[in-house]
Amino acid sequence: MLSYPLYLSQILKSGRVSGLVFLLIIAISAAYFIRRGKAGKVPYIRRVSGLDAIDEAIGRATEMGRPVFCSHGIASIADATYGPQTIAGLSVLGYVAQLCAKYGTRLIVPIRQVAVYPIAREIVENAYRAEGKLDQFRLEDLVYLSGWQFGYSLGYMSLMRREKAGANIMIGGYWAESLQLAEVGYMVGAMQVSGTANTHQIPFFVVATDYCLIGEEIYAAGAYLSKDPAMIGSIVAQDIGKFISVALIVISFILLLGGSKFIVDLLRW
Amino acid sequence: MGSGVSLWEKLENIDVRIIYLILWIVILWPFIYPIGLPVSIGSYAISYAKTIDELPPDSMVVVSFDFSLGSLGELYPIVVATMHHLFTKPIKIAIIAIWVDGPIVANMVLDELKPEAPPYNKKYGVDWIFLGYVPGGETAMAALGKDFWSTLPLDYIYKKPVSEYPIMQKLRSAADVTLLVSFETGTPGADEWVRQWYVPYKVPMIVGCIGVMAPTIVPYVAGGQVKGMLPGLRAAAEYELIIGRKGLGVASADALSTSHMVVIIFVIIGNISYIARRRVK
Amino acid sequence: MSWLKRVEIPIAITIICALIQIIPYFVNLGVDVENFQSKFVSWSLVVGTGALLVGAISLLLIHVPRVTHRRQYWEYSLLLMIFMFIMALLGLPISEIGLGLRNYWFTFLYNNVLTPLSASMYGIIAFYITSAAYRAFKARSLEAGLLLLAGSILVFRNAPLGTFLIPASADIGDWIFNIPNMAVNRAIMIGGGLGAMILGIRTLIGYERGYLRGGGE
Repeated sequence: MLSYPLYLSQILKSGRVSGLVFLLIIAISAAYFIRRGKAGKVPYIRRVSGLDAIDEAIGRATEMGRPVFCSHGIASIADATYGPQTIAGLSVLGYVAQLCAKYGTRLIVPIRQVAVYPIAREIVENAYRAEGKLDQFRLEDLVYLSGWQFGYSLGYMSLMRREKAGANIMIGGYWAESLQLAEVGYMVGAMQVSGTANTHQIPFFVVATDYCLIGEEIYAAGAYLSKDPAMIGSIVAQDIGKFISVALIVISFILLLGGSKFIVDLLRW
Repeated sequence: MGSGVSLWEKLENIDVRIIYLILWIVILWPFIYPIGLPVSIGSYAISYAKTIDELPPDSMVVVSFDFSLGSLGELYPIVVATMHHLFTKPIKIAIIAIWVDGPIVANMVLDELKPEAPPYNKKYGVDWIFLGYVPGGETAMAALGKDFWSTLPLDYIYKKPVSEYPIMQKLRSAADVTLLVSFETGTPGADEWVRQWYVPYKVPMIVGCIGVMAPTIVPYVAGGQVKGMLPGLRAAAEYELIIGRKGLGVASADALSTSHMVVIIFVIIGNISYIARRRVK
Repeated sequence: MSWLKRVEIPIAITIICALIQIIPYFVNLGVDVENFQSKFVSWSLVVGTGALLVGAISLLLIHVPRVTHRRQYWEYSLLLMIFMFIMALLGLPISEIGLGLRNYWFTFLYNNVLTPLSASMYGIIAFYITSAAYRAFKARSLEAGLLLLAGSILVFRNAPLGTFLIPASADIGDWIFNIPNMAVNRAIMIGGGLGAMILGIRTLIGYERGYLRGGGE
């Protein structure tokens, strides 16, 4: 067995070194590709139909004269594991708010986490200000519904029915309320774009919404929608990480067939 | 010439209210008139029961109630059956909760089972203890793992210092825990327990969860971090049959069967009408 | 005061706080640093709890004008506020006057109103699953056909009657559950983890500003 050297344990905590190495590789890749993007060498990334569909959904809602609903999930922004999903959802909210301000479409933002409320408010208000339409900004459309998961879900569903949502964009951390929201969105005839990294809710979104972003696509959303070359470069670093993961899986599989647990032990460092 | 909607179009677009009414009837009917359909036993329930059966005497088992009241319907049979099974063993049990609703459900179970009365005859503070809710999610799990006494200084029922209870002399940190039992519906849950208790302390765990969480816990079962899993109401019925204590799980099995069959029937209707409509076009 | 509004300040705070959590996670810096790191997390919990007040005020801002101006559904807004105040008052931790979590009426409302409502909301999902499956499980394409096949097998596998009628559904369902499902879950978890890592790195270097004032200056 490849055991963790004692001298190294004085400096770096055991069981976390492989994670640190991986993190450094990804971070350096991200910095490199961001720099390349800034220098104008924009990498090609495939179209993400879900993200492209956001424009279509907002346009459709505008034509129908119905409001756009945009939520960023129910996870706390401070949560270590699920906070990034909320941040991804807020990035999308900024983009959606800008488009709604541009087209003069009403935007309703249901909120579950109180800590997110002032952030969402500032994002939406700034989007309207940037478009020169601050007079169209409606504070009452940023609705803190409830801190209780199902109180939020109930309020969201009722709002969609009452206001007859034309588009429903749900990108962030969702749990049991995902199918409820998606089904009611379908029932009121809204075009729905969803996305979450919670694997247990992805099947519900895939089945019940028009477009679904799966897993890491939601984290790329902010970069993809901004079309900023440097941000797009950071998406490449994500793929570098995936290539390394696949390589490690294949190599360790081959080594395990030969009876060697070298990679497995190394990853335990 | 009729311009009405064809039969196939009608079948493809059945009003959801009709679907919901039929579903409601087929779920309610077996509770009023039980059918007694057979329940086969799967490997998950067997390994879950086996893990508890193989606990050595005087093992320290920590039971964590990590779910909300909303999922009582699916989890309560699992919880009652598991607690019954644990109370019949000569082991020590410490009950905690990482979700705020956890103590409420724990109280419901304890009121139903009455561990201090026959047939369990367990003594509070010696054989079992109720430590209560720990706020903070994953941070709370980490803190408990390091030091139970400072994280939960008082017990939940009598509000006395935990140091006064004999059972707590054997429970200072996660290193003293033989098995962790977690009943959960989401986050924080198995992912967090694996990170905070399995990775640093190698505490094995078994999980009772709602069906929708099962696919996310299966990787941990395959990886050995989770020794057993009861996913959902069907697994609860299987487990009740294994331990010989029929309860809400078995009682719900008929409704489970009928409701699933209704889903299949509607899926078949939807597909037949879709294919037929395409052929007509 | 205009310098306080500059976006560099929250970015700098984010970077410093992130490094305080990340570096001690990997590097042995001593007990004092670890204690400070834990204390930091407690501060964030306190700040988050303080934000509860924002939620209550926000609710009042929405519902009070609805009641006073008799807008549509104002009766429900009134009901909401009445119950909000009742539960808040009854749940105050003043056991000397009988208030708190052990207050009879608080427990009564919690167990007999909130609990059945929670369970009902969860139960609604079963109905939505049925209508979603009826609508979406159609063999429109190869992928949809595979979804239909796998979904149907697992529905049979989960129903006691299903495994009784088609015993093979138990083994095939278990195989789908334990092998392809697990592999895909792991893949999505790895991808999700990488995505969150990149988002964190973008946040750390100040590029991800979506959580700030909408991205731009």
